[in-house]
Amino acid sequence: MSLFLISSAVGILLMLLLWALRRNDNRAPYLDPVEEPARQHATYFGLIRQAMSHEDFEFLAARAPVRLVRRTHQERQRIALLYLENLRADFQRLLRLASVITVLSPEIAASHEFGRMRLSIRFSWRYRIVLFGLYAGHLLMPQLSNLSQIVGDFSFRMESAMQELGERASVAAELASTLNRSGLDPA
Amino acid sequence: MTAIAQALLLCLLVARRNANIYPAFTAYIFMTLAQSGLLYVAIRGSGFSSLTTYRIGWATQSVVMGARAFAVAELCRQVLGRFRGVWLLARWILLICGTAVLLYALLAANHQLKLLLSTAELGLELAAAAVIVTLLLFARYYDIVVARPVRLLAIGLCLYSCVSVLNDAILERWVSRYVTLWNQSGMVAFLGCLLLWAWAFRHSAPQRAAIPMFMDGTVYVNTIPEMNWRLRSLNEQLMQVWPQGSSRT
Repeated sequence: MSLFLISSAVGILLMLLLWALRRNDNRAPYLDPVEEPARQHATYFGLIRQAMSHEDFEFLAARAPVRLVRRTHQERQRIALLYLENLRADFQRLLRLASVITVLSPEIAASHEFGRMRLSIRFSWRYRIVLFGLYAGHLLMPQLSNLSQIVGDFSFRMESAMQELGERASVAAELASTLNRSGLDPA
Repeated sequence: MTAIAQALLLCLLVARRNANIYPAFTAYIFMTLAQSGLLYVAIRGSGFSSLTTYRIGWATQSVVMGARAFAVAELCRQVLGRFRGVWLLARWILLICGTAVLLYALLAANHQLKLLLSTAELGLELAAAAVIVTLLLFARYYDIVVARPVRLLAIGLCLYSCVSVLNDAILERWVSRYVTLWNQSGMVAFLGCLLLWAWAFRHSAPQRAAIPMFMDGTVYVNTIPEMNWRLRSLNEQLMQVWPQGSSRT
């Protein structure tokens, strides 16, 4: 029993070690410059909603051949999936910006950090459920609309914070260059 | 052969000026080398199975374990120490994590008096491995870049701890039959780690990375709660997506 318990603990640790060391290709290093605005995909929602119009689909279903209706349904589903995927990418980009803010903050609150971690785990889990729903043939336009709105608002807030960070960096660079010119560089 | 690798690594650490940056790790390697020397003298003088050798072996091992703990603490500081806020949070979590795993290991182990020391070693090694893994998870979560030598140092320390734990756990079960193999497998694992560390420290350490320019504390205080609120809203929205308003087309 003891050997089993200890070996299990070691096995779990080794798996976590591998996961922690795995190359993180879709993430930028923490000092990367501010990325392109994250609300990009959220702003396409108007077009997506238009493409997903229920009335249009009913109209088509009443007049067009079954084959065309089926193909239209598949295309709409594909677009919805693509859009949801992009929303998730936006969400993750925002989370990354939040990490940058946290890493560059002199003090952080454990409660906020644990809260965010819990939320991101929950988001990931629920996202999969929604994805499953879409695969099962549901189109969830009102909910996607809300998702877009939230991601858009959130990214605006993040952009402001990152802009402030950029301004501070440029002030510090200017200050350093002034010091160089005035005192340290004899030429 | 292990002693040669230890001496080689120690020379590399000193010659490449890595010893200034990793003093605790250098001290650890020095102590392992000193332990090898002492054990050699003890075995030559009193024999492999004598009580004196046994005592010297475990006494030096406890010192080495202490040095190893400091090396792990130094590693944590190397990775997260520059980021004041994260470090303040992480060090408590790492400490709690290490203590919890140590207790788990001590509770899970077989309690035999003659294996008291190896059980203690098992607990400490498992705690060290857990701390290193948690540290790397922290770095991944916050997108903190871990320099290659530090990464290899962490991998070596963690793998050696894992091997030691398994080794000790197997020893607890099959004491008499496994004791020779226990020694050999421990030595092979340690030799592998020494070679890995020698590879990691073959070049001079890069200049110490600059301390990042911190933002004003108010940015975090104002932004993060708002952000968490937004995330919570998003999660609630996701909750509503599946059960409600789903119209099958």
